[in-house]
Amino acid sequence: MVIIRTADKEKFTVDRDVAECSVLLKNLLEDVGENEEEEIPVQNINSSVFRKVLEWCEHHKNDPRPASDDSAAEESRRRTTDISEWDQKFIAVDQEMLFEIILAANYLDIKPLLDVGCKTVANMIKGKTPEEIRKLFNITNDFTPEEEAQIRRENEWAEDR
Amino acid sequence: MSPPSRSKATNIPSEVWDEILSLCSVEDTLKLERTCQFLRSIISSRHFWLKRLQCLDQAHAPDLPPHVSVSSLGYRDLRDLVVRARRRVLNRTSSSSLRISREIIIPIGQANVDGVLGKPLGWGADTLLSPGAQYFFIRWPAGYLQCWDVRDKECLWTYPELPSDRSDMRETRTKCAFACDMAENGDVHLAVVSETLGQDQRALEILGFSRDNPLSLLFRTKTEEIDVLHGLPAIVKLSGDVSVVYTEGYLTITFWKDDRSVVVREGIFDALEIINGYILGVASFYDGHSVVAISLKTAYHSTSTHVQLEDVLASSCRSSPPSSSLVGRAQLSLCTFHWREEGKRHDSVITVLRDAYDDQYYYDFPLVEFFSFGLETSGSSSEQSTHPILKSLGQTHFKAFDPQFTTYSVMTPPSQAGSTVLAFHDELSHETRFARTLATFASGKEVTIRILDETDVGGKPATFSLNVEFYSGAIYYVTKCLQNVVIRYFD
Repeated sequence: MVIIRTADKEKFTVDRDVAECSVLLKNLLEDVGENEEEEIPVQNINSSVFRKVLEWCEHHKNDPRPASDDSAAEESRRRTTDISEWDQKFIAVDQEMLFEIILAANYLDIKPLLDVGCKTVANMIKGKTPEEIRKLFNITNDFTPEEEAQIRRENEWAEDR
Repeated sequence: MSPPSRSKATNIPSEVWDEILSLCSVEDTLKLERTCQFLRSIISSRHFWLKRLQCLDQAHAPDLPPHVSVSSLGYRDLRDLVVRARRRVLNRTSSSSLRISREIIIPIGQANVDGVLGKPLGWGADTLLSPGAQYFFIRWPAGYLQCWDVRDKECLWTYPELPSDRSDMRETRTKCAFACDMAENGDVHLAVVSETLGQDQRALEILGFSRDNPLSLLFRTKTEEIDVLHGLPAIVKLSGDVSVVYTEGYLTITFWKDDRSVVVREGIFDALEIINGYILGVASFYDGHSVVAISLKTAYHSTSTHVQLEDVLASSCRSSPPSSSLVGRAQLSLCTFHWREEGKRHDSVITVLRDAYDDQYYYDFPLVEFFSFGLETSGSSSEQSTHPILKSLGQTHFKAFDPQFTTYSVMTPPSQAGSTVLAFHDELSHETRFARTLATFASGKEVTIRILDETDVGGKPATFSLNVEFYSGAIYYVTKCLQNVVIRYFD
């Protein structure tokens, strides 16, 4: 068991193999060795998000860890935007939480979870117009009319089929 | 950059967006680019499109010449290649027919004040679009070779230089033929066969230039076999440090960096290409037609400057036109499928298109034959050796073809993986010259993609020819008024 402290000072007692889903935590744990008294701080993550991340790690703790330089796995990952049923249920959260999970997965270096998050966002974007995407993500259109015309010109032949 | 945004989406770091974008289709990416400054700054970068290009699968293989390294390309080129590859795949699966997507007009007439350079007329050997369509070359009848930048529509150079007093211009260098090659570092090389009016001698010249360096003469040689005595230089090819010039009955291979030439006698060649250390050609012999592979290594190490074909022949395969037919000239197209499969670079598909006529002198349907060229391993595990081998993959007749037309050009771009050929045709009649067919053969089954009509090719071009640029899926021609070159893309 290891103790992890989130940004809002909450302490979590976690199984070592659950924590090791995160490459960042795995490396930190190697540094502290067997000293179980030591708290590991994760500065950028709040307890509500971390609880969610732990839920994912708990479920996936026995998954084979992808080797970082495995290009074949990378290849198959890219080829599909399919998400497993459990993960789909897991990631069915509000947008705020979705992006928090993505940020946490990126920070903690949990590649498969980052993938789930990114695929979810990619699927949300699929087939939408720029205006629909702005509405979806609450993005402010900060282009000048000239810039907009310029981008349209650049992409004219590409989008018109 | 962007003003403070309330959006959670645009507050996540760009490296995470890189991840998300890598999972988005090209069309979704282009939509995202139009949403805000932040996403545009990520998407409109060279880095983004380079990564994207490197991740393309075989179905989206970009039509890049095999020797062009992806990392040498700029932002625009990278982006265009990826977007075009995607459009092609989408167009292919949708029911809509192929259509012209872009048109570029180059005002070549600007350089031809008072028509001093002559009227460009001929069968299309006079104009050339470089692989990737960055540069357009035209050989004016007055003997001057000119290069235009396709994007800027600017004349970059004229070779030889035009005299300052145009009245000094004489027809000095007629009947030259030329070929173009893109070097790994982005330099462009040209092989030019030129002759001086009234002299029997011709010279082979290698010229080089790049975006940063002006045109320079890299090599010049005179070889007896390319002289006027031996007829017009029918075929000129250039690839790396090898140039091949075919004049009737003589195939001259020049290793220009080492100033070495070898002449192969025997065979009448209709078409030639240089690929991976071999010259592939469609040749006629007294006993029929074959596709042959000539080893450049063997030719280079030959102790004699004149060799017979059998001395340098690496492999050959009988081409099989209908036995009762007379056959016209063949066109050859080579395609190597190597996209992202470094180990399998050597397998090429050769497409041969030839006119065939039956013995009553009625036109027959053109014949399309497919061959593969690759290295085969043989021998026991202790003494393995590889040798090149040509194999026939079958043939088909081009049935949609109107017998009034003559086949003219064939290309198999890497994106058209498998047994696919694009063919263009030109009518023999002198009155109407605009009808052409663009067709493809998928798995031996003929699919006519599109009949090109007058509106496609802008009326009657000045020349008989409608050229195709292998790697850009573009057609190009000189307009009837001789003022412009029109380049049209089909992706």
